[in-house]
Amino acid sequence: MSTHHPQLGALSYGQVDHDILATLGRPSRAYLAILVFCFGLVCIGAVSYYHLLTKGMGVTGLNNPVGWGSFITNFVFWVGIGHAGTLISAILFLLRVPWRTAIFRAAEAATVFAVCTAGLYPLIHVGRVWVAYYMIPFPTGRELWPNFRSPLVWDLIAISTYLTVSAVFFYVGLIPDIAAARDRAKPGPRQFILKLLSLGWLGSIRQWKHYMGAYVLFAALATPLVISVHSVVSWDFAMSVIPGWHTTIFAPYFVAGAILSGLAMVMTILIPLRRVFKVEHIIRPYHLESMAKLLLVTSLIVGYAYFIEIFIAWYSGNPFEIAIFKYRATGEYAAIFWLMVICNAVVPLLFFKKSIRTNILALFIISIVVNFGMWFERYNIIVSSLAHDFFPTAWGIYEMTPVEWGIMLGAFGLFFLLFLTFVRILPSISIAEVKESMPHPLRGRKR
Amino acid sequence: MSSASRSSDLLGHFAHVDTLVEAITAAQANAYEVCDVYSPVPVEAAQALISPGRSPVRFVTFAGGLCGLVGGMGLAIITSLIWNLVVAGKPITAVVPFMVVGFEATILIGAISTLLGMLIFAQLPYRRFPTPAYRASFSRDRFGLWLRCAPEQVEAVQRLLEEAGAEKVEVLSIAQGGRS
Amino acid sequence: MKHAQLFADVLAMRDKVHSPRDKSVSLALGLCGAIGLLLAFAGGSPGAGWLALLVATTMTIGVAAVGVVFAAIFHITAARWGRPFQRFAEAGVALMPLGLICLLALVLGGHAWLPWLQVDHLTGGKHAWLVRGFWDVRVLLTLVCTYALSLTFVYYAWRRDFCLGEVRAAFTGRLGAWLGRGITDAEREMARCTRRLDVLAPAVIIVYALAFSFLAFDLIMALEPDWYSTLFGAWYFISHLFVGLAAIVLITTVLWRRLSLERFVSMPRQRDLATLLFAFCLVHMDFFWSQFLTIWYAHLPEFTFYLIDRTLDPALPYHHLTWPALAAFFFIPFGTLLFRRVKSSRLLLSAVAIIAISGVLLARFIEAAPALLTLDSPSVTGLFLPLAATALVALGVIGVAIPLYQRLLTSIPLMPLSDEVFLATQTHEEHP
Repeated sequence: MSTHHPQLGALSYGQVDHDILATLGRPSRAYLAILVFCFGLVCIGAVSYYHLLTKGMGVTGLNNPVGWGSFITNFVFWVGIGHAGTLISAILFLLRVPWRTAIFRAAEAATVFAVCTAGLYPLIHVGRVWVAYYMIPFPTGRELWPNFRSPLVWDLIAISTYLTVSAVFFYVGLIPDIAAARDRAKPGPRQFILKLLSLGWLGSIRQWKHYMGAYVLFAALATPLVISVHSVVSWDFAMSVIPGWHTTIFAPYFVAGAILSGLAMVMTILIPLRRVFKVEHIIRPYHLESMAKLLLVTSLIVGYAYFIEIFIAWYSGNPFEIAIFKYRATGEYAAIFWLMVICNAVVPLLFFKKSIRTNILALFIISIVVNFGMWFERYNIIVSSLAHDFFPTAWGIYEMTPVEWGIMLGAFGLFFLLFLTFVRILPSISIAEVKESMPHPLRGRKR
Repeated sequence: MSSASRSSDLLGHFAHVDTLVEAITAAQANAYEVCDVYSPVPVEAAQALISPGRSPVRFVTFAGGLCGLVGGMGLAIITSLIWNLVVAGKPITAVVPFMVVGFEATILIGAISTLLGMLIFAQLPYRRFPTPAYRASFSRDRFGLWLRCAPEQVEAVQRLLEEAGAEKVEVLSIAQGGRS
Repeated sequence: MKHAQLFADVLAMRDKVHSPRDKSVSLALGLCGAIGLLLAFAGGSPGAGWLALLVATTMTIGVAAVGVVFAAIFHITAARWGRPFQRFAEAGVALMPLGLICLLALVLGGHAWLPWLQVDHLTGGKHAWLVRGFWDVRVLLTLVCTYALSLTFVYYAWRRDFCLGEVRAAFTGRLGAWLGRGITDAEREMARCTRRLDVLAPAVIIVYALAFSFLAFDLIMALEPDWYSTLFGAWYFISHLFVGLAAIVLITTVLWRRLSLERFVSMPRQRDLATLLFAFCLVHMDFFWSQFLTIWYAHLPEFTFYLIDRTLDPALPYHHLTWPALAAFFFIPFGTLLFRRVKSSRLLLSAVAIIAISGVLLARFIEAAPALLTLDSPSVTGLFLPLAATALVALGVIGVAIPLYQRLLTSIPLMPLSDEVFLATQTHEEHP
């Protein structure tokens, strides 16, 4: 299935096994310190949310006219982050791209945890979270059903589908690696749990046959999800009539933006991870450079979308469209707009230069810049359009309150807490696929 | 389940794919029963010999996807008929937006069906883990070939495996001839 | 010498490009085109004539450029599977003169068909954007610049092959002499060409996307000056990628036996091509759906009129064509390319490719027709003449394109012999 990766030819199966499973060893103090820090952030988020639950939505900056603010911004941001993992796992698998093998597991984990984090936000945003189950289509006995014509209900279905499929894909991919960890673990509770999770995987030929058949199908099913989920999220905005929201380019524009932000986050995670776990010989500069090229492509698409939106606003003569773009560039949120353009459409252009693409520090800094840029983009689109729609008498300003900042910090803390926990429990690099991408051991070759 | 009491089981450990495939070919040529083959990675050549053809999981996926499409569209259409939400000048039963629901449901049920199909056909969770022939090295860097033969053929099979390139050959003592 | 047999096989292909029937097929198709134009212009419906020419032009200019875009994508991604198809894609530049001539005809005859010339007051930026003179120069210059960049790319791609002595010795015509001139240090020149391609490849793709977005706005979207869609440009250039891929499928099928392509394209690679066609079918449909759903949902009259005229209005005949177009560019390719049997059969694949191309052509027709035709009756019979003219002119363009394309194919090596990735695919155990 996978193409042989010449750069891994010098390693043996045993060495790959050893090096990757070694990352599950005893954690260092620095790791524990970061874990505690992330837990601290989660606590801040929890306290902030408790405050919101007890005092009501008035503690946020949400009001007329800006009824969607940081919660929806973060929701879209985290859903977007998830897309790179699915792209790398599923689409690049089908395209048999060789650089995928060493990095897709970490990217997939980032997807699952990002979607989990994203899924909290609609629950926070609805306010009365204790009746959030109203959104679920089940026989209530009162003949009430959700409005399936609403993009918000499409969101519910799309995000649940995305979480389910990503989690299943993630888990299925882990089975052979859990088996490898099981076979190396000392008898005890850890081995027992690994035995359960591995489902008794033997690596028999018949198991591999059905496993690989299913894996291709999962990849084929996850591929349209990469496009459809963020298209559905974009339609939360595009289905309205608000200037700056109601435009046909939103679906592909958001998908490209999602992949951009996801790749940036995966790079932000992988660069320290490879150093800390001493797997620089497995996650090589080649992998990071390949991701940088893909990031550049998506950045160009996002830049195209910015340009075309502005051109069409001018071309159309629609006074409201022209007004919103003028407002974004010169109004109260102008700094966010310009930061968005610079971080997403200008800074990544540095990746045209090979020396920058292959410089680890530059890759790390640019990935963080893009992360910021994509957050600014969501904020810019959502808040500026609501703050400045048709009637001047309806214009208003929104600012995030400390409660919203606290919840946002908590969400970031939760994501990194989940991810850091994962990398110590389960292999963050796919053992089986890295072995698969190496040349098969043949008799007479030194191993 | 094959006949139990008068058969012997041997396990060949291999470090190379080509020797493994050679051994399987020789075993099949001599009509020895290949109980199972273990590998840390999928080996297409071995699979072509042991279990040729594509996995039928795809049929389960297709059926699941179809159920998802019908189910998703059905849920949206039927609930719109039960609870007539008159909004925004759109038809009560609006097929255009319902397509999004149908599409997502297709993927969801298709994926769940694929998982179930894989678990069923691959016999997971495998309750009889570990099999008598399974060794921890088979998930690391070794390949295993489990053969069954008549007791008087043990030496011949041992020779066959060694000539094919097995690192080690074990004669397994299995009480009731259990099979994978 | 390494690869000696491979080189000999590839160089021998040039003599098999032509077949005795080709000339008569081209003539027949060309005649169809002439008949189509006559039918429309002389048949009292000049709108149908300009419509046929516009649809054919928009497809031709795109297909001529998109082959180089594929080659650029292969270069950037180091895609192994696409290498045997690369030269067939690049040779699409043979259609560039035809595309330019058709566009020039449209530009020169613009006073006869451009609907926005009849509009008194164009709103917004349109009053500065849609101005004769500026429009003429912009449209032509956009295409010329795009083509110039694409031709520069193929120059370096082909020159790299001509660094090989065997290729220079085999292709001694004018094009071969020009491509091979001044090569003293072959290895150094090949490295230089590769460096140029590394820079040109992303430029080709970026310029293609921007240029064809603006050509879509200027040639098709502007036909309804009151309507706009931000995704229209992307929808247009994606449709060319889809049609271009379908054209590659068709061309390789037609030339398969002649050129013994099974030597270079294994069955798994053929299925890969079919899978990519499936993927582009989905992306193409996604771009259609993104526009349709957004406009349908918000239900704003300034946008919905465009869709209603073309898909729903019973007072106009176009709604009869909507489902056939959707079936041709989506349902049929989607439904058939799911199956391995179809992907493995060149005959079925080419049938799917023809249907997909026809579907996109029909979609272009539906986009342009309501603005260019004045039909008195909702009956579909009113569309017979315009549809027939469009189909015949499209066939005519194919008829003219065939000899141009074949001539180019005989002037260059039909496989990228200097490409390390291609050479690796041919020596690797890929063929079952």
